[in-house]
Amino acid sequence: MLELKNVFKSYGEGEQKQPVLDDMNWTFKEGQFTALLGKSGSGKSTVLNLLSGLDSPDKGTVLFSGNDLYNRADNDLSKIRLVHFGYIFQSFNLLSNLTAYENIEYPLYLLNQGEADRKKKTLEILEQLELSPYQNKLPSQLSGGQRQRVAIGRALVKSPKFIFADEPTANLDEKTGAEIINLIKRLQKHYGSTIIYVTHDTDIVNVADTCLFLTNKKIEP
Amino acid sequence: MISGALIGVTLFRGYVLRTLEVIQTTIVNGQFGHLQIAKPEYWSQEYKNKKDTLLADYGPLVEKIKAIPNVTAVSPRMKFYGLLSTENISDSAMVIGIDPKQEKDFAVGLMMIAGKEFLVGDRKIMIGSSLARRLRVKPGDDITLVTTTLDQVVNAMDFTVGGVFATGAEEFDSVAAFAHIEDTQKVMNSTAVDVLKISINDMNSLDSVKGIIEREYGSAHLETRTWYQISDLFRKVESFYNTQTGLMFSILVFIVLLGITNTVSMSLNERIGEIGTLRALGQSRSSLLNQFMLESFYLCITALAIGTVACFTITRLVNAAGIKTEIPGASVPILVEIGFYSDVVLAFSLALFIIVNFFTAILVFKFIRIKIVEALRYNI
Repeated sequence: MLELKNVFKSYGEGEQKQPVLDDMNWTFKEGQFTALLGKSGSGKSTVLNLLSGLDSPDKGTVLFSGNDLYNRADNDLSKIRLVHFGYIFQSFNLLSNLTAYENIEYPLYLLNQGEADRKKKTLEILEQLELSPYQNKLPSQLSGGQRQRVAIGRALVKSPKFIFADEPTANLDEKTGAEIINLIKRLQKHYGSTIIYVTHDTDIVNVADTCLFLTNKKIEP
Repeated sequence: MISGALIGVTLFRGYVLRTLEVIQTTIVNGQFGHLQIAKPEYWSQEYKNKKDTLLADYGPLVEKIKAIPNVTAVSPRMKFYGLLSTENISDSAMVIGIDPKQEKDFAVGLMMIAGKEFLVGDRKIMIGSSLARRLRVKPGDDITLVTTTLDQVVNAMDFTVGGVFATGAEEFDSVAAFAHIEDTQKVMNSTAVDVLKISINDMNSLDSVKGIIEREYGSAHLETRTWYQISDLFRKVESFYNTQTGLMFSILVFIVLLGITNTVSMSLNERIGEIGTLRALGQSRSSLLNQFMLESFYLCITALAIGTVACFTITRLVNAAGIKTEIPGASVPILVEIGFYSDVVLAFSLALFIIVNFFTAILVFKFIRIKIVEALRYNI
């Protein structure tokens, strides 16, 4: 379970300081597809970064399984990200010198899984994502939709508890974007992960289990 | 850049060490031997009478020292100053009496400009190249040596010029002349000698042989010195070259560090997005540091291996080319030779490896501490 408790977050220094989140509280239930909607600059990505262990709050706590996510050493937080969290970025963030296969396999490599295990899981994901013919291609040789599917594969391959998606369809055309959303939904059901999906696209209400709106620096259902 | 620095400093050091080796061989064989034993007054030059510095009954001492392991020859020497005169020209000379039977390696360090390598006791004299030029003599010419005996009586002896030599050191070649020890003893009206020159078969045993001699004869009013202690010129040349090597290495390291800092910074700047992504995927800072340092080690080792191979090849090419050069203080052109010393390559490689990776680690450490969300703003 992920929980925000009295979280404050602002950007800038001194007089330039701009509060983004103000005493935010929310509990994210496991096994759901939660969409977080809001206007541009409303703090959606900030909430996602705080929940996913990428950025710490100014005040308040983020609880993961009942424990403060940020009150721990870098190695411990890195391990939580590695084992329990998966990320799907807006601009894919694939490692450019690795092939599609290697990009998907990489988290398993970090988890010190055996070669046979890594291969089995990576090939399975590639097949589910219909990327098997492209497994030896570099990201630069793939289309936008294919790259995002590789990124989804990289997030899912280790079967994390939570997957954080930060506007993953923003850089894709409408048709490909819709395909990607449906793919994420289908795989979420298959793997049983919790998805926290940030977007300003209101069409997401059709696939999300829960929709949250970020207004006035707070989350509202 | 790392390869270039290794090549530059290793070639220079190889040239220096090879040159010092050549000078050492010349000094050891042609001038001082490996060790010399004499009275303390001879070394300090503080005496009332020249006779006080001489070894009178040196025969038994020669035999005892010869029996020491690694000693190959013990030969008496007599050195004094006199005037060498032809029909028209006279010039002062430092005459060194040697025994060619004992000093078989005598000519190894000498370059024979003209004539034979050495006299056979028939009143021949070998003259340094610059001195011979001033006296305008060549092998076969007659020359007279005028000096004072130990009793301060003027004495003279006629010689025939047997050969003209060069050691490469102008300072020596402009004053030195070699004659047979018996002839020099006659002209000095003495049976004594200045020093005993000791040759050994292994430079590594120098200290142990010196130690044995000092233990045996230290109390007998005798003092032993190594060629290195005697040769002031060699020590100065070595010190000069060592300073130059240190300076060159420092300059090269500075240039390498500027280059490496710039290259690594640029490379890491381009990889900030990758660092952010890897951190988001769960890679810890320590794991990233290890990963980047492993890359740095690999690149550094590859560069050093390329540098070593290039260095070896250049060394061979330069030595094969047989380039000669004039150097200050040398009486003849010196053959440019570069030695390839594995210990030198290893030492400089290790120093470069440590310095480069230390500074790379500092830069990597700085970059991996960038906040993940900030790093993710950069394109991958």
